[in-house]
Amino acid sequence: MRAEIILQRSGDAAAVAERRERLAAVRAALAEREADVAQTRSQLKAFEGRYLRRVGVLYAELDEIWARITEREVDVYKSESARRRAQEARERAQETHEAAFGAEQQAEEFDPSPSLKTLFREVAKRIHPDFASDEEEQKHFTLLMMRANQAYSRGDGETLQRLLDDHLEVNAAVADEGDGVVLLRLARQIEHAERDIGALDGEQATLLGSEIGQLYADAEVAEREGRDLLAELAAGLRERIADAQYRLEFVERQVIALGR
Amino acid sequence: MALNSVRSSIFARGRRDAANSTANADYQRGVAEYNDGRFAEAAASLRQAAEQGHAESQYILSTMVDAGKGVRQDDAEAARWERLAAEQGHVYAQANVSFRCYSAGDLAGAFGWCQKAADGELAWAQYNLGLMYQKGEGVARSDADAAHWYRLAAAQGFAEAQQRLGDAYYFGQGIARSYTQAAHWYRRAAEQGNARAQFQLGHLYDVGLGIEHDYAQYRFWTHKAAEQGHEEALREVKRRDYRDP
Repeated sequence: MRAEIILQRSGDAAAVAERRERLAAVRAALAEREADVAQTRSQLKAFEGRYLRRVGVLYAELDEIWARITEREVDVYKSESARRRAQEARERAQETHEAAFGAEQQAEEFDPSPSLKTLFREVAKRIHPDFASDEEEQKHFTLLMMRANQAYSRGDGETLQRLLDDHLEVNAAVADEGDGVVLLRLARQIEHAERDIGALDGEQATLLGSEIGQLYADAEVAEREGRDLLAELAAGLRERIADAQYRLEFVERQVIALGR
Repeated sequence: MALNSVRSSIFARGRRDAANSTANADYQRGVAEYNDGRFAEAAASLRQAAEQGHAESQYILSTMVDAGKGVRQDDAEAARWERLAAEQGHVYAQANVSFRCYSAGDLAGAFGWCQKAADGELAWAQYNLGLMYQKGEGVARSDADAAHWYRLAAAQGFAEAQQRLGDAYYFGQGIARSYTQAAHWYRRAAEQGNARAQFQLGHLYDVGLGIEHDYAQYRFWTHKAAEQGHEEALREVKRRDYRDP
């Protein structure tokens, strides 16, 4: 009878050890994935900035000239089609301008809502590395804290809420610290880490599949061929801007000739 | 959120322009092979570029597949490449899609694609858009819009549009009647060999509308139109030659 209990307990202890190992492995994988996604995110952000500065502003310039051309053409042709074209060209020019120059404004305007602040505090006070019970947990809390900080600065309340829910779920009903409870807690922690890996994989795929992600990939391919994709795009656009400028001057001469 | 979708579209535009660079190696090889008359090889090279999203290659390939040049003729495949190029803003492909829609009786589709190509400054499309407005095909009839598009095509030197714009001025359809303007546009079309414009210009010289009456000019242009088989001109020449050999 007694021997059986000991066997049972040692079985539990082995299971706990095995799960701890598994949790450590999954968390290591998660940390790696997190670093990958963070790198992709910052690479794309930097590339986006370069693209907007070198190419986006030229699109804005081109669309602005075309808006003016079509607006002058209304003076020449005075038809409904001409007016419609001019209106569409103007809307497009505004959109492109916003896209090319709106980025900087957006970066400056980090103003978290009071509810996001409260949520962040709730998360932070639970996962602060200073409150960790052992070294292993401290390492993990440091990672969680970093994740929370990033989510907060992105204004990502969903991730903050998930961090909080996870913490509450893992620490729920732990009055008795028996092996059963420990096992259950470990199972939950593994589950959370695996779910987060899945979410990160999804995010990585979305980032790489987005327009800017694919453009970045194209630029990388070009670079391996010794080409500068952004410079090529900019050169092509400068030619189109010169053509459009010529055309605008032509229409303006027409307007003057017609005395309108 | 709105800013994101606008941003996404400015990135998509860059990608499209980058994919359509004339520096595309497969495209360049395809064009060289085409110019050498090696059509099967050209089709293979252009197909590679087309699959990378190169609009010009998609367009050329669509015309080759349509004509069965270097490849097996296949309407459905031609239509597929044509549409891919059109969706990327290739104006000639847009015009071809419009024509394909028109032939299949899809007037709304024909109008929509023709509008895109016309906005892309393609004279043929501007002229055809004018026709569709004038006949009310795929759009509500509007003589004023018809005249607008004829004028844009005419300014680019498109003879049929110049003749139609001449008609619009002659009849005062969609614009204020002006025989002087009618004569101006008929002349430009007539000089390019447009028979109807030649006949009309002759008529204006005959009656002295918009231009000074000039019998020699009247005979010259009416004969030009008759030489091309213009029926009214032929009748006119017969009638005149009988009285005035």
